[in-house]
This record gives sequence, C-alpha cells and structure tokens, in this order.
Amino acid sequence: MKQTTTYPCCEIKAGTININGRVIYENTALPFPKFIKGAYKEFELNYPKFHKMDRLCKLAFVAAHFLLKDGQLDGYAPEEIGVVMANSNSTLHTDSKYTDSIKDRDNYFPSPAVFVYTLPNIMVGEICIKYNIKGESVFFVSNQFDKEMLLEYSQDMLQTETAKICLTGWVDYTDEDYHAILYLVNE
Amino acid sequence: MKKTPIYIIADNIISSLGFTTKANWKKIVAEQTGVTCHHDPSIYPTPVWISKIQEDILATKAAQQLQSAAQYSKLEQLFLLSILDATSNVSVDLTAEDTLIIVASTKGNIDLLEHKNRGKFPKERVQLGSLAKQVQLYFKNPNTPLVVCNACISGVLAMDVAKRLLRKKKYKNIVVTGGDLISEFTLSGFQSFKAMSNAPCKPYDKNRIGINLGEGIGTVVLSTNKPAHQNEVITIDGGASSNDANHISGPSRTGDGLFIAINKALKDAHCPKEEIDYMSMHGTATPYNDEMESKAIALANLQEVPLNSLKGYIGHTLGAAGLIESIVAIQSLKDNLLYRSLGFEELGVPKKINVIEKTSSKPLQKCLKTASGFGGCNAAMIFSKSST
Repeated sequence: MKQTTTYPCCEIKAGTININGRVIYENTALPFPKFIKGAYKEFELNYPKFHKMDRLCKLAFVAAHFLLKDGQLDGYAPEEIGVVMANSNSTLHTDSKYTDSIKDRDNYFPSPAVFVYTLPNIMVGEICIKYNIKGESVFFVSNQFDKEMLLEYSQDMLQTETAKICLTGWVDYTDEDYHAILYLVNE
Repeated sequence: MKKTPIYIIADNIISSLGFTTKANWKKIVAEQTGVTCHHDPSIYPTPVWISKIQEDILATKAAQQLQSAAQYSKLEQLFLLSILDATSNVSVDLTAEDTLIIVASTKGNIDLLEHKNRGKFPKERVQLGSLAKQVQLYFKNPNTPLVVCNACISGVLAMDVAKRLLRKKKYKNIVVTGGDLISEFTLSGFQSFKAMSNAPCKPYDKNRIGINLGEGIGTVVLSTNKPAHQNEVITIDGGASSNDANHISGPSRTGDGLFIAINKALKDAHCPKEEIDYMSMHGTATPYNDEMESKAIALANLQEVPLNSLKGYIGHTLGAAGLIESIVAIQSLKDNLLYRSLGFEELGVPKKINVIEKTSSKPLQKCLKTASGFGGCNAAMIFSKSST
C-alpha cells in the first residue's frame, strides 16, 4: 500500500484550489458562492445540474472534478469504484435555510428542491451520477477531520476487494468556513 | 478464506409499539400497527399518519433509568435507553478499548434547529458528532464514536461498517445504534415531496400512495466472541452497498443499483441465492421505490422468496429503519415465523414478487435485508442462524 502522501489530492479552502500541493486557482477576495462559480467558469465544467446544487455539493463537485476529469476512472467497472467521505457539519447551511422556510405557519413554503439537499450523502450521489460510480460508499460525520481513519477505511476496501479505487475525503461547509480535501486512493 | 464470524449478541427496539424488542415483536406477531392519525399543531399544521414513541412512557423511563436525564435531548435519551436495555444482559464492557459505538442517524437533533426549539440546548448539539459524544461520555467509552449519515440506508450501512472493523480485528465488540425523531423538519420535507400517505401505508400494494414517517431507535451489540450458553447464534454473514448513479431523489428505474448491492452481499457472505429463506425489504410504499425493488428482486432471481416490509407497523423510521427491521428479521429467524406484510392486498409492482399475506410458521435459516435511500444509495445484508 502506498504512502498516503502519494495519492492524488485536491484541496479547496480560503479561496484557493490546490492540486497535489500546487495552487491552480486563487481568488481569496470573493465570498464562497462567487468563488466557486468563478472556478466553475474558469475550468469550463459545463454541467448544468451544478447550478441546482447547494453550496456543499458545489464544493464537493468541483473538488472531485480535479481528481477525475482526465479519465482517471477509465478501465474500472462502475461497481469497482468506491466513495468514502465525511464532514463535521453535515448539511447545516441548507438545514438552516430549510428551517427558515417552515418557521412561520402563515408563510410556510417548504421546498423539495431545498429539502433534498439536507442529507450529506447527496453530494456523494451527485458525484456518482456525473462519473457513473456504482460501487460501495459511506458518509461519516465527525467533529474532527480524521484523515487517517478515512484513508485506512478506504485502503481496507481495496485490500478486501470491495473496491479497486476509492474517492476519499472531507467536504465541510458552514457560513463561516469551508474546506474540501479529496484523495484518489488507488493501489 | 473464511471470514471472521460476527455474532449479534443482543438488541433493542424502541418504537410506537414499545420499548423492548420483545414488546415490539409481540405486537408485530399480533398484526398491530403503531401508525395512527395525529393532529398535533406543534409538529405539523394538518393531521398526519405517523408512528410516534409514547412521550409519557419515555419521560418516566428517562427519569427512572438515566442519570441527569434533563441534560439530554429527546433523541439522546432514546439512544441511551436503547443501549442500556440492549447491553443489560450481556457481558460487554462499554468502557473497554476494544469496544466501539457507532451511531446511525439521518438528521440527529434536527428538532433543536427549528426556530421554536432554539436555545433549549447548546447550539453544537445539532452536530451529529456532538450528539454521539454525549452517548460516548455517558457510557465512558474511550473511543470517538463513528457516525454514519447516509440517508435511509444509514442503519444497514452502519452494521456493514461495523462488520468491516470487526473483521479487521480493530475491535472485539461494537454497539451499533440508529435513530431518528419525527420532527416538523422531516414531516414538512416529505410532505413537500408529496411522498406521504394520508392513511396507513400499503407497501407493494396496487393502491399504495406513499410513506408514513415513524420515530424509533434500534440497537445491536455485535461481537467477534461467540456467545456462551446458547443453543443458537445469529451472525452477520455479509453486506454491501451501492449507488444507482441515476438521480438524487428518485430511485433507479431499472433496479440495477439495488441488484448490485444484493449480489455483492451474497458474494461477501459466500451465500448462494438459493439459501435465502426470507427477505426483509425496504418497502416504503411510495410508487417508485416499491417498483424499483420488484425489478431488483427479479434481476437477482429471488422472485419466489417470501418477503415483507415492516413499514405498515411502525412507518419509515429513517436512520433507525435498517436496524429495527434487521432486529425484527432476526426475531423471525429465531422463532421461525414470517409476519404478514401489513397493508398489502393486491400486487401493484411490475415484477411478480412473493409478498407474505398471512403470518405463518416456516423453518428459517438465512435472511436478506435491503435498504435504499435518497442520493441513490442501496445496501444489503445477510443474516443467518446456526446451532452451536
């Protein structure tokens, strides 16, 4: 099994996109929605469903793009590709938006388009749809980012032949902060 | 290679039907449902058909059995009571290094985020990690709990995560507990999807129109140590998950995602499909879910195997569903008794399947449990009973 440092990695935080330790996009002045839209345009992601996603899914989707855009999953059957992801705030931003929509009985407007994003594994689903991933996946929630646990879990999926390649990492979003770090765990 | 056996040595169910597995099982065998019409404007503006845990009994039990009960939210109290009951008759040391707690939940303490409840508990308790920490501290467990938050497959998936860690010999015992509450958040959300039934739900039936939400907790104690002094043991033989890669809020139109999970679970369990005696399905009673399941069953060539859905008894308990339904399936194995799939009258899915219409005895050894959820996720697990 490889050293963890050699897995392809994409990290997005504080207005910066970093691939394998190299900054490829930076715009630290913009709030998140404008920053992520800027990256979407700059790298021509060209995926209309992106605009329907909530902020958490957009963050995960852009991070996954940089690890998977060059056919890295070619040669793997859909059911051989695993996803192991985690965060600490689940879908708090969208949960808050949703609770605002039901706080007033005289102005009650719960929306299915918002409600569907109140589950954190929806971002796994969005990535699976885009890249035709049908293998095993799991979403964990923990207060701290436990990189070792997530990588160890993914490596065990490879060792036990549950998967042959695994997209693994952390994607967290709150109004105060955001952080995505994804790895492509391969043999 | 022979895989490490994983024994299910104890369990607990809390639902509208009662506070123990035994109490729940007794009512299921008697074909009693806990789904009723509630008109409680504090949880929803209009009447809804749901399955709710009895508040007065919960309050009494929490006051009697928990230390400093008022410090804990309703869901936390339920998790603590469920683990207390599940572990009351087994010699598992919750304070040991080789014991882990895994929590499964879709929304945790989401009720605390609703405007009417804000300020009742510290803000961070909405975080699932902080909820799990309360459980960990209560039982003085040394390991940070894992929380599995994977929509409606959370309960089955949490057991599959436990399976992986036990096989890897990272722990000797794992307590897996899953739970979700009825809240205005989830009620209004499922209502906005027009997914709720305005009568008791009817899984696989021609006239099914949607789900009943339920609240509940399910807990299993898993161990790699074979339980002593038992004539029969129940094991988790295998499990798997999959993704449809099709739609975030609708199930696959072909059933191929669930089929992949079933196939992988059978392979993981070294179990030929001919050995499956019974299937405990997800069966939510929404038109699309049940249709998808029938297609997956046909693809897996399991159309003759008797199956049921527990949803007609206690509704859809979200993160608890996979655990509660597995525990009830295990009761079926132990008692060689297949319970009627409540609400079913006339087959209304595109592929012929064998829905259990009458509670009846049958020798049972192996059971397949499935679950599917938003995000296109599916999970399957194989349980078996063997003599010692």
